[in-house]
Amino acid sequence: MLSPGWRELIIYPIAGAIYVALSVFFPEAILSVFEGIAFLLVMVWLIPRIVRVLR
Amino acid sequence: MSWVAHDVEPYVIQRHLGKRIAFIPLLIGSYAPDMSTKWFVYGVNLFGFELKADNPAQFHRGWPGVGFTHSLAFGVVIGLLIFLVTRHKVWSYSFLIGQWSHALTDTGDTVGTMLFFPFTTHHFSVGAWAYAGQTGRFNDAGAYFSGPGFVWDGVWIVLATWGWKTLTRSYFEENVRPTDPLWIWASAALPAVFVLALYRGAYFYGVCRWISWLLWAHVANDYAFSIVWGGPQWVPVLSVTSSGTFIRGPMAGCMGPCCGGMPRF
Repeated sequence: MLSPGWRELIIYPIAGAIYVALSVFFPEAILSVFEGIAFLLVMVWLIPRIVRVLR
Repeated sequence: MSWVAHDVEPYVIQRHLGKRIAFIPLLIGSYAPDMSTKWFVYGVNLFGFELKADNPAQFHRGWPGVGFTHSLAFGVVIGLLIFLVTRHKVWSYSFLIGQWSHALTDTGDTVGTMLFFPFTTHHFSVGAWAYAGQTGRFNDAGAYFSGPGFVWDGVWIVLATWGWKTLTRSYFEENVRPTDPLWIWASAALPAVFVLALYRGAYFYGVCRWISWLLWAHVANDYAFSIVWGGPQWVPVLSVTSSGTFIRGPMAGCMGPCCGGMPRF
C-alpha cells in the first residue's frame, strides 16, 4: 500500500497527462481555470473515492 | 496578455512571503483584471447572437473600456473595499499584490496596460510579445504560444516548480492554512485531499495549459514559431499610440517624456 505522499506523486502527473491529452484534441477543455480545478478534483478525489467504495 | 503566468505567479509570491500572505485573495487578485471581461474580448455565441466587443483590445485594455481593471489603482480600490468589508488586512493586501502582479505582467505585450489610470491613460508596454486578442481566442493562443509570450510563461513555471515545497502537504498545513480562515473552514468541512487539490489547482491548470496549448499550436496545428521581440511576426499585432489610439502594426512608440522612445516604459 502506497503512502499518501507517493500516491499523490503518481496521481497528479497521471491526471495532468490525461488533461493535456484531452485538451490538445478538445481545446475548449482548457479555457477556464474552474474546469481545470474541477478535472483535478475528479481525478485526485472523486475517482479514488468511488474506487474505494466499490471495493 | 499572459496565458499562464497569472496561474502560477501566486505560488512564486507565496514562496517568498510565506505566512505573511493569504493565498486565496492573492490568486483572485491575480485573475481579477480578466475575470469578467475576457469572454467579451473573444466573443461568445448565445442563441445565434454573437456577443463581442466592437474593438476587443480597446475594451480589454483601453479607456473607454475596462482597461482600468489593469491599473494599479484598481487593486488599491478593491483592496480597500475588501478591508472595509472584512477588516482583514492580510486579505486586503494579498488581493492587491495579486492584482498588481497581473497588471505589471501584462505590460509585457505590445498594447500594455494603463498602470496609472485614472491619472493618465498612457499605456505602459515593454512590447516583448504581440497582443493578438482581436484575432479570436484560438488564433491568439496560436500566436502567443509561438512567440516570446510562451517563453515568459515558461520562466514562471520554472520558478513555481523550483519552489515545489510550497505545493507540499506539510507546507500547506504549516504556512498556508493557518493564515487564512477560509482554508481553516474548508479543512474542517472537506476532506484533506480535496482541500489540497483546491490549493494546487491553479498550478496544475497553468502547467497543463502551457503544455496543451504548445502541443495544440505546433503538433495539432501548424503555427510557426517566431520568437523575436514583439513576435510572432506573422500575427496582425496591435499597439497603442501615445495619444491612446489603438493601431495595427508593431510598436507605436511613445515619444513622451515618460518613455523617451521605444520601448515604451
